[in-house]
Amino acid sequence: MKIGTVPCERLRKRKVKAFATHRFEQIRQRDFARLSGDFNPLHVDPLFARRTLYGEPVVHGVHLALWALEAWLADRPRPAALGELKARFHKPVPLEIPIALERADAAENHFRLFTRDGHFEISGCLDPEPNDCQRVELPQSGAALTCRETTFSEASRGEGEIPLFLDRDLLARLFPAVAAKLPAVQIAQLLASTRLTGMVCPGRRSIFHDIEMHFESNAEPPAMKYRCRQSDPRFSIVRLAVSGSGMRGILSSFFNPAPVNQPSAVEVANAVRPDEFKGQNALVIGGSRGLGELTAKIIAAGGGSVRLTYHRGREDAARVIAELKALNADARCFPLDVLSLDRPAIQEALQAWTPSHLYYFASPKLEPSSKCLLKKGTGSEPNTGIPSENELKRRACPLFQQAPKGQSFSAELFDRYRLFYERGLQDILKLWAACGSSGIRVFYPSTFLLNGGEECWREFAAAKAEGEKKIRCFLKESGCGGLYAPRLPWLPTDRTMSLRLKVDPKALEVLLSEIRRSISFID
Amino acid sequence: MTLAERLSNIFFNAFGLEKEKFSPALAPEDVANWDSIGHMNMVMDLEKEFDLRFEVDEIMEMSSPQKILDILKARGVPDRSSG
Repeated sequence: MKIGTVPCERLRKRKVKAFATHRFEQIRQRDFARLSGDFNPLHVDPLFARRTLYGEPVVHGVHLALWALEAWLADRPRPAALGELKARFHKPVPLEIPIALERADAAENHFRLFTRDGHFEISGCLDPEPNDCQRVELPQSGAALTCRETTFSEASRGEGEIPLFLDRDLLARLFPAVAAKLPAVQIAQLLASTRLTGMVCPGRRSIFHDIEMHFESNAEPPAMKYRCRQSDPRFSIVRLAVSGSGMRGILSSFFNPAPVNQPSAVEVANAVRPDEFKGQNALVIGGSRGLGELTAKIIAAGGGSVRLTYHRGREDAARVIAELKALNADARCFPLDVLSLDRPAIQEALQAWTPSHLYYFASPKLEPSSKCLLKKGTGSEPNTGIPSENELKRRACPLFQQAPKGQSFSAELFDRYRLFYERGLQDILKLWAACGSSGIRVFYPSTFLLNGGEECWREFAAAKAEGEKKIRCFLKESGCGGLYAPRLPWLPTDRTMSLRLKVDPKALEVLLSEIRRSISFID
Repeated sequence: MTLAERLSNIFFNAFGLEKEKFSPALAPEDVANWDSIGHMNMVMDLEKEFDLRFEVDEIMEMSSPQKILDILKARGVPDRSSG
């Protein structure tokens, strides 16, 4: 029997109370990781997740599926077995964000469940009478796996087997109805699917997208065999055929782009004259990674003194400082949240050090303003990134927003960009003005999109334009400095690469050129 | 079945778009789930349905059902009338 996609459009528009609601918490996330054996850092490591497409940890897709099944099975009086199950994970669910589950009308023993905001859909059917072969003995636990880092081509050749296991006590605590009403081996297979894709193949860079499983009577030992059945570098998708213990199915995953490593301090030093930034005290806001990191290295390599700030990336910042100190640079870092400045903490961090130059790279997560279809990659072979993340829905969650249908501009998205690109910098400059400082030279990385941009980035471009104008005005009126606002192309950073934007690969060359130009041009 | 009918089936499977709402003039912003991932799924369904493999440029051109139909016709896929 074919399981079709839920006709969600009509159902989403119904203004009815949700079938179930939930907020996935960190502690529950770790419990699920223990239950499934899927400790992929995208789900459990905020620092790793920060450098991925999503910018923060997201809930396991299979966790969502089990939550939905739990809600549906809660009212069912008798145990049953899955006949078929299909789940598609359209977009990730972050932690601590409420989501609402809806149930579509379905025939008896069939189910169709989906979240109201389009995160995922799950459908399937039950066999009313579980047969003996599905009551398979399962070990309580399995050997811990190391999350593998594979290449796309390695994943495309993936083949092997993983054992099934099930911690029944933990399952009963997390999903009591599922534990009581579905065969343990089927739950173990579902859990094994996320363990396989998240830890083994594709592993660390996996984004689990689709499950299709068919269950039959079979007395095979409790294991999941897998073999890559299809891979497509155009889409960075890997499809595994899985089977074992009465189940056969297909698991589809996308490849998450790898974090972008900026040129090392040594490599930068080869491009910079040793004294060309001597005498400069450079405060680099957002210097723990990306263009801020690169700027800190450029200034330090050129003899400048550097203080760089970070918001959450303390380890990244420490790594950058270690590289700069290896060049014998005067460099330190300290935490700073541009949306919530702590003046005493900033003063304590800087002490008698006064910046002569301020380089501002604080930025929120980049979000296109409307649906942008597949974009060409950088031209490197083969494509290792995934397409733009662009299924955005208007909701309270700051990660996922969309211009309302029929409107051409999202004020909400624009305001969120402005918080960083205008208000954050202005607040920092106000601190300096209040101290009576003057003559600070501000490097404000604006965007080439202002020279004729794409519809997808109108809010981003508009916020940069406002930032250019307002900061220039503020500096002039307050007399505390001048502005250089180069309109940079997309350069390789975690953010731009995760969105598969067409980047200029020569980040060092472009940035160094603009920093040099800024020395002689400040208005 | 006409090409448009086959395409509306694909849109139903890929995006959950009900067939009565299908029209050649639809754009991605009109269809929930027609994002880049949904687009890829649609493309893979198209390739399976019509036994074709599309180039990246063709995939990027598929911004409406009409454009998809044009590409299919350009690739020699016959359009059988419903009559």
